This record gives sequence, C-alpha cells and structure tokens, in this order.
Amino acid sequence: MALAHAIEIPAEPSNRVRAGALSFNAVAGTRESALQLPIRPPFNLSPGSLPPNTPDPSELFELLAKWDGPYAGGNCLRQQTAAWRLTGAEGAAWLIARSSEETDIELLDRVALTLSEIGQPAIDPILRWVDCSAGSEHLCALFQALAWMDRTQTAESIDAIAAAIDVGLGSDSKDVREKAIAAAGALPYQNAATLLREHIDVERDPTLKALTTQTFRSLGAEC
Amino acid sequence: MWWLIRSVRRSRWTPDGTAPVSREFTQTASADLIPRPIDNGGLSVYQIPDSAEEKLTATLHVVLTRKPETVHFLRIRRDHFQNLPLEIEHEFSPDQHPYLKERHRNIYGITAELSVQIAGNILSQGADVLTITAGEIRTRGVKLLEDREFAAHIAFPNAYRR
Repeated sequence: MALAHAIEIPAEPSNRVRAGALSFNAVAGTRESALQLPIRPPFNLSPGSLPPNTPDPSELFELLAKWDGPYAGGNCLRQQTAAWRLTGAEGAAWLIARSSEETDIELLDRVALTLSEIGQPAIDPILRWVDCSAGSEHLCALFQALAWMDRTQTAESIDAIAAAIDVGLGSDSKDVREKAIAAAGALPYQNAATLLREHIDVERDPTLKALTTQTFRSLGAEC
Repeated sequence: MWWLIRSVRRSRWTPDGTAPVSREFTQTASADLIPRPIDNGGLSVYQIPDSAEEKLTATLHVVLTRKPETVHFLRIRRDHFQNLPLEIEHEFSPDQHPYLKERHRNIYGITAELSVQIAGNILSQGADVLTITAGEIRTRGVKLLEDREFAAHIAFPNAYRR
C-alpha cells in the first residue's frame, strides 16, 4: 500500500529547501529495507508480518523522518498518526526496533509522539524494550511516549507501567530519569504520588529534584 | 542578539563538577549541533532579539508541534562561532506560524569537526540552557487553544484539552 501517496501533501514548496532542490514527491522506504533493521530479541518483526492492507511502517517511518516542511502541517501529522494507529502493536514494535539506534532528539520525539498516539497497543512493546535495556536516548523516547499517553490507554497496564517507570527513575542517566519523572506524573494519583514521593528523597540532581517536586505538586492540582 | 537551538539534552551541556570539560564530553554535546539532513544541511535555530521574546518563542515552538513536555533550549551567541565559515539564512516552513517563521534561521556550514569546536567554545564559557517545564507548556497551550489563529496551528490540540 503506497501510503505516502494517500497522505495529502500541501502543494506549497518548503522555503527550507535552497536552490530549488525540492524533493517531497515520494518516500524511499521499501519492505526489503526493513529486513536490515537492528531488531533485537524478543522481537522478530518485519512489515511482512503485518496483516494485509496495513500501512507499511517503513514508508511511514520515512515520512516520520521528514516530519518537517510539507509533512509538518497539522492535517498531515494527523493523517500520519492515524495511519500508524492502524499498524497496532506490530507497527509499534517495528517502530521501537527501527528507532533503537537513533540519536536525533527530534526524530526520537516524533517516535514518542507516534507511540503515544498508537496508545494501548504500544504499551507491551514499550515495556518489553524498557526491560531489555535500550540505550539511554531510546529509553527517553519510550518514557516520553508513556508520559504522553492518554490515561484511558494506560489504565489496564498501570502496575506494569509503574514498575517500568520505577526502573527508569533509578537510571544513571539524568535524561532518562527526567523522562521517567514525566511518565510518573502521567499516572493515576496513587501510583504517581508513591513513585514521586520516594524519588524526591533519592534524586541527586538539583534540577531533577525540583522537577520531581513540581510534578508531585501538580498531582494535587489535578485531583 | 542570540539564537536558540531547539531541543537539546540538558545532560550534554551541564557537566558534573567544575573541572575542565573532557574531550569526550564535548564530543557528546556536539551531537546537538550537527545539522540534520531534514533541515537541508542547516542547523535549525530561532533568532531572538531580546530576553522578553525567548521564552515565548520556545514555548510556541513546543505547543504548536508537540504535546506538553519539559524541554531544554541551548542559547548560542555569535562569539561561539566567531571566525568560523558559517552562513545564517532566514528560512522557514510554509506551515509554520508567522511568529516562528519570522524568527527561524538555518545555520549552514557546520561540519562534524566544527560542531566539536563550537561545542567546546560554548562549554568553555558555561553553556546557557533555557528550560521550560511541561506545566508551563501546558498552561500556554490551553490559552492558545482559545485563540483561533494559534489553535489552527496546534498539531496535537487534544493534548491541551485535558
């Protein structure tokens, strides 16, 4: 399914592109390219394992990487995230595996946004990757996805999510702890309060300690 | 006048202790300065005329393109890349809000080698990071949703309706 062509691309060219070198008419992703992904156990997915007529994640990922210029309009972003939702848990697992070696913060941010939009089907793949020690940049994206996920999507997996966040709060990486604090703040009050209260006592970084305190206080405001 | 680099990792710019920053630390930090292919080889920044505008610019960028999160922007000044062969171009995406369009710049000519040099210049003077919390982003987003002109540009409006 040539999903890129189904997504509406605004006709106006991007002013970012210099010397008229415009190129947003196609995506380079192929099903073959997905077979070379750095997929680690316990995942063994390729786009070919998805149900028929599901959007091709490798094509969608190419668009994600170009989430700028003509691909950045609100309507275009909504169409892309809607397409990702159709890929479900398999698409989420593929996306997580594909992005595991990425270090571009903005791209990882889009991965997090996309996973949060996939919602509940993405939770199990996220937790499995948190469990198998992804790199710190990647872990940041996974915790950010949990932080952005709607509570209706996380309700059935709260205990498992809280356990994963607890692991993140104990990370040596300040960046991972920062994102884990954000994810804790998105949990229901009791879970969030427990995690954050304990974390305030042990957080060594002054900025993160202040952030934890602030997140903890904001829980009260939401109740 | 200075420039804000979008989305940096705070830890890359805040070394522990006061000892001279190591080459390895500088190398890691420089990853935030390497232009992405998506920006056509330019480092995407916002040009800020004064401090009154910087927080608004940074907050608008996040509200319009993301869901609420705590973000860190790196402030860079001209002396950080004085005498380096770089070009600053006023470029923007057609879908950007006019406020951001006016301020967006791409810095061209940053190679991997130069990015380490610039990171060293920044770190030697103590990096200046602007942090905006998720709470501040959310508060601003909720207000902007009431403004029809801005609301039309918010990519994830539901994230500001909770």
